[in-house]
Amino acid sequence: MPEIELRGITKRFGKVTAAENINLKIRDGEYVTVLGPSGCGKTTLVKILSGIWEPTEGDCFIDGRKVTGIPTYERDLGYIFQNIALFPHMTVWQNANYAPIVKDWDREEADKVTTESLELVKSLRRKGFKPFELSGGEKQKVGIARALCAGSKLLILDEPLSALDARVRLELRYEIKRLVKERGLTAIHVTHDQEEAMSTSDRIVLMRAGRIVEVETPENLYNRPKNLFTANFIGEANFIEGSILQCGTGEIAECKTGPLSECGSDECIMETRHKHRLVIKNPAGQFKVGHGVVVMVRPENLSISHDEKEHSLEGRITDKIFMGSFIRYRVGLVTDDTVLVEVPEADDKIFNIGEKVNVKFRPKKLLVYPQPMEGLKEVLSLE
Amino acid sequence: MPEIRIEKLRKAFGGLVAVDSLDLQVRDGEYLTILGPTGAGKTTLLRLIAGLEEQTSGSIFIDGKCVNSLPPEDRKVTFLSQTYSLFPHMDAWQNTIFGPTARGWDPEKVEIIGREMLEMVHLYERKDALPNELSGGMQQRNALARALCADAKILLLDEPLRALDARLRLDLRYELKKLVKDMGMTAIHVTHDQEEALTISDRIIMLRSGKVIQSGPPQEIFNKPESPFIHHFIGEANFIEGTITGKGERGARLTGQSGRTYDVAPTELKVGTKAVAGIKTEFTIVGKEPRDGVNDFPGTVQRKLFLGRFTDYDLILDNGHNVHARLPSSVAHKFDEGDRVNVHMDPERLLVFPVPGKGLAKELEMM
Amino acid sequence: MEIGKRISSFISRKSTIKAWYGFIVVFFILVIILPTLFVLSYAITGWDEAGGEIFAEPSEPEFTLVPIGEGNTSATFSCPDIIDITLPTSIKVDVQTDRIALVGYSIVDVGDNHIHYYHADIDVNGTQTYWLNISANSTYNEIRHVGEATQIFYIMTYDTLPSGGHQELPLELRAGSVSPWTMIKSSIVNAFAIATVVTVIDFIAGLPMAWIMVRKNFRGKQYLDTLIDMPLAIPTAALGFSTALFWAVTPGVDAWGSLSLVSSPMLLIILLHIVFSYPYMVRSLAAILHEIDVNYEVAAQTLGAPPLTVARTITLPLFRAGLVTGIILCFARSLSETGGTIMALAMLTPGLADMAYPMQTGPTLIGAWKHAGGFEPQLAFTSMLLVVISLVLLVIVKIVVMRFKMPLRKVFPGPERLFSKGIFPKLKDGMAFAFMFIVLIIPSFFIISFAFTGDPVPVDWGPFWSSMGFSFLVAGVITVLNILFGVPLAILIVRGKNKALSNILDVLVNVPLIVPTSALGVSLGMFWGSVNIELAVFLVIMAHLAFTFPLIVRNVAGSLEELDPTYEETARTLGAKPMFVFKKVMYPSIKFSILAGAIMAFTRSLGETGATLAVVKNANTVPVYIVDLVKAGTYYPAALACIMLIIITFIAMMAMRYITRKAEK
Repeated sequence: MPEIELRGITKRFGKVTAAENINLKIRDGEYVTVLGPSGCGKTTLVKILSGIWEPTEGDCFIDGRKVTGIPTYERDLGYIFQNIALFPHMTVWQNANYAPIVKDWDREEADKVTTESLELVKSLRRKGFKPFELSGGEKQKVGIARALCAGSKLLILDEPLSALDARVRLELRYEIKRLVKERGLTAIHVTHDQEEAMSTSDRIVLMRAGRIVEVETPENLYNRPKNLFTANFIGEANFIEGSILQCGTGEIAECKTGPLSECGSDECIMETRHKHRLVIKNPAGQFKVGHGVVVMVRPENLSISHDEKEHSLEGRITDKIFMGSFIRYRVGLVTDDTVLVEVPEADDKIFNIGEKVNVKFRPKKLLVYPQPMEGLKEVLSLE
Repeated sequence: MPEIRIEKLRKAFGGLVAVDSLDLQVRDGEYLTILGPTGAGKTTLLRLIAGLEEQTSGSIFIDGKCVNSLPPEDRKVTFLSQTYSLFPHMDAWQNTIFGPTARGWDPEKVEIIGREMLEMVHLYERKDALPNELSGGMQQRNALARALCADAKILLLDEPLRALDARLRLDLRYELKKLVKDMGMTAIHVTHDQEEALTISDRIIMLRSGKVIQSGPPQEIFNKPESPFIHHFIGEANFIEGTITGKGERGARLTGQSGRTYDVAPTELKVGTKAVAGIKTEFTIVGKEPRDGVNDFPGTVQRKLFLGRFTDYDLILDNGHNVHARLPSSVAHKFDEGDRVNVHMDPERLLVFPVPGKGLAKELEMM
Repeated sequence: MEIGKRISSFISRKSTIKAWYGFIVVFFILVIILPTLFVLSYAITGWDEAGGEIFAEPSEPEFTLVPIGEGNTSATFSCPDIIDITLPTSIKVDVQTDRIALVGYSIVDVGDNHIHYYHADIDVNGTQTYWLNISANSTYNEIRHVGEATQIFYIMTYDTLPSGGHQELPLELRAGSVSPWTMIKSSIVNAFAIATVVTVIDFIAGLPMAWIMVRKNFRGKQYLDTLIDMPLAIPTAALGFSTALFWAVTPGVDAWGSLSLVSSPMLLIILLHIVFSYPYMVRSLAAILHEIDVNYEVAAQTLGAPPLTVARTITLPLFRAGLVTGIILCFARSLSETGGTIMALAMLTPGLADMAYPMQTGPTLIGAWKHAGGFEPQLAFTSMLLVVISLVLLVIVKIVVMRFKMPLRKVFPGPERLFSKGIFPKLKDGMAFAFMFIVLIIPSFFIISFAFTGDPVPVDWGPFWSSMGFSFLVAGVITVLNILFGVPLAILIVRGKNKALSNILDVLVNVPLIVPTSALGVSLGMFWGSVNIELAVFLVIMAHLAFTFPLIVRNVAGSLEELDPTYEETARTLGAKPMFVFKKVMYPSIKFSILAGAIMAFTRSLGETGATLAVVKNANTVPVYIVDLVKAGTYYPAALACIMLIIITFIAMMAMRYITRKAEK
């Protein structure tokens, strides 16, 4: 069964390092997504795994077999391309039938597998069509069928949906996940789309500038990101900078922040810009007085009101966007930070642009990180 | 004031009609989005307005003046492609002052206005940078400064965010709208991304097969779609086919093909007519207990997909109906695959449409 | 300022632009296409005149059997039935011997009793045929008397039997006039046979090289790139000299390192034509290979297909368009080539008159006839045939290549897997490189060896510089005209609103590229002659303009196609008039391809022989000058002139590379 291991993979193109010392293990039957901004080295990784490129250093193992130096056509994997790359001179059937033919399978067996695969992606009725007669989504389905026909248990998806319309993309990503799971395949999917990554994968490998940032399940990446870049890349997030003013000693009376917020023994008070205060959690006593910290909170974990004062910062609504089932407000805070707040559309209270509001930061919804050395902007940068 | 009026506009390429007797009015300062699937004629419409294609028939008025026979350079609209078409061999400064230079304005004046525009988009320090040395966001700002500099008050944007990374797109679409608004421009933005359309527009025009099928502010398009296609295209919807059989508790009543009845939103359709009812997945509510007995259906969770902000559910109702639901992730942890749940469909949200001409499946086809 | 504005707005007016484009199209049709194809009109106007002359079969020639004894023996015959010949004429001689034989003839002009000898040293085995073409005022223009002449043929054999012994052999001599048709036929068959063989070899040897160029990354790739193009920088006359010197048995001249292997004219010409057509093949194949998304190949590999299978089932079928271009370019180049071919022939068989070469190709025959003068119907007819056959062949090649299907179903997994691995790919690459060095690079530059090792002779540079001046004048003028008219035509082809017109123009532009330049020259001469223009400079310029015009149009059109039209459209919507858009947006992006096209046209014009020879009789361009030097046996100055020419074109070529590379950055 396909089990993948990358050991110390480094790839350099001249002076440019596309991937630096990548170590990664993928279990059998796992759906793993390699996610990251353009140029982070994610495609390099799968190209090396599939043997299209050779690594400068390090080795790949498929099922414990070292595949470095083994040509692509002997690695036994299915590859799905961003630009689909259906052979333009062949019909849908010939495309799907290609792998069985070049592998010299028994004719009957070959046709059976091809029929099956095309049926699986609901494209059998198009078997006499040439690629140019198909829409983008249909083409990619055939691309998937073609890869499945090769009979491999390892599927590499290299930005398979990027070239498609937004709507088609949504439909196809479920289709792909279903196929992979039904067939019990191991899949490695490369994308720059965090939503696509979360919706399809068991685990996400987040990359940046040739290095792995974090390897985690989608839930953990979204809810408990280990670093600031992850927090920002994996979904929209608000960040507020400040420093620890006081740490809870258990004596509640000591640490009132402003009039109403209280801080418990495992909590700290953080001072933001313009000397406003927020209460944050400090479970392991990680932060000490004077430490610079950054607070991250997701827009849907903030709430706004007119009168709620506890754990709140004042602000003024600068923008209001209808997003379907929820409304997104952009609020300029007294700390000079701008935060996004998302509330369900069905909420009775609708606020208007220009209104003065209080934004509530519930301590347990806040994630706190030490202030990055390079500066916050640098760490969050998407480009 | 820049105001666009389009009357009976038609464009055919050979036998293929790309834009079909289309009427449209764009107000001054409006941010309008043209949304539709590939091949709906969105880009052709933009090119017609810009004067890059000649219409087969119909008229285009800008500021009340018919521009049918005006060449693109005299229309005062700026067309920007996916990559913003910043001239690759010119630096930010040269790009910015392209319009005034082309019109032969006084160099001193050009100098002043160019500087003003570049400073407005915070790019003056980078004025010597070539486009490929600028980040995606800077290129966007440069392109807008150039358009404004050219004295164009109308911006035509052809899928301007498509080439960007998904995450970056979220940031830049906000920035794009903000700049356009700050600069007081009128924008027509073409996209196939319904979320982008919802978040960026003052008004959305839904285009399909060269025709406007609905026009209105995002909220209206989302909440009051005029056809099952729009209902499904903006967000995603579950559909029930059946017949109107009478009045329900809060609206009309629809009897599905399985004989099961649903309370649906009020409709003008007569009792006995075949109809389609649809509800957005966001409003298909999953809970442990039945709500109030109206449109409450027991079912089982088949699949659960975490999307971050939301979690998507595939459910099978005990009546055999497959439905999708989208829940905020904060409540989603309560339900897992295989769990027995109750699915509630608010009758107000279960919108009724006449059965589309070519059948529901054909109506909903995206590709 | 006011006036400038007015002019610019006038230029940008829709009607002005339309009129300008109209003018360009008319110019193109009238000055390039019509003259190029004018010779076809000959089928209607000149048929009666030509029919009799070309197809008239002379009476059955007589046979004389002559026994030849031991030692140096010569036999002299008089041919009674051609004693009274009317010039010009062609005489066919059949020789059968297995010795080294000297074949020659002499003409005794009754008028002044001069005797002129023509002879050739030829290794004869079996039966060979020679044409001795005699014209009224050929290079040996002492023969002025048209009317009576006595033909005396003699055969001499040396006593060098392979066995060393002596033997009495029968020697058969046939003499008699042949119809021009026979000569035309065999010269055209030769030309097409050579072109076919050359194209096939180019393809076989060029494909692996194109593959290496596009799909492989290695150090020094850009040098290889330059190396492949090098033969293009050398005028074909110089190439002919250099190649013949390297490969052939060349009596009368030798250089250090010369192989002296080849004595068959056919083989030598093939070797020569490969040198200058191979780069075209590699370039076209590489261009299309570059266009083919590498992902198709990668996809096939991930599906389990070894490289050879991928090449057969995926790449080659996708490749057809490039194949057609490559084939047509090679074919047309080989079919057109005159200067180098004449050089090679002259060096194999020194001392022969043009028409006495043991082998003729279409262009050399045209050159010879034109030079001799008085063969107008023959010239027109030959050119017409060349044009028609080329065009027909173009269509056939296109159809055949596009229809041809690679066997998809049938695969040979075993052998293809085997040959895809281990030593075989390396062997293939190694052979591709070896071929390139031995067949291309060394022969191209072998002339340098001669310059160092040949016997220096004092050289009179006067005529060289005067011919150089003429060549530069022609090349300069056509380059300017090309830019002036070629760029707008390219814009019209790529950006034109009327697609039908664009497509027609696109096809027409290629016509001068396909038509052999000699035929083109003849056609042009006829066209301008028909309107009574016979000024040599003008005719040469027009001829060179015709065959270089496609180069610049193709170049500019190619880069325009690459240029995203949204830049121009955006510029328009920003308020720029068409002229301004051209100046500020389009021109900066295509200026390098304009320059590249211009330099290509310039060097091509500098190196062209065939069209020059065909359009006027005594044109004085550098290649013609060099050819004449070699024919006269003055090799050393010829070699120096060649090297001078190579250096000049090389500098131009390097400038182009430098500029285009800079543009890419």
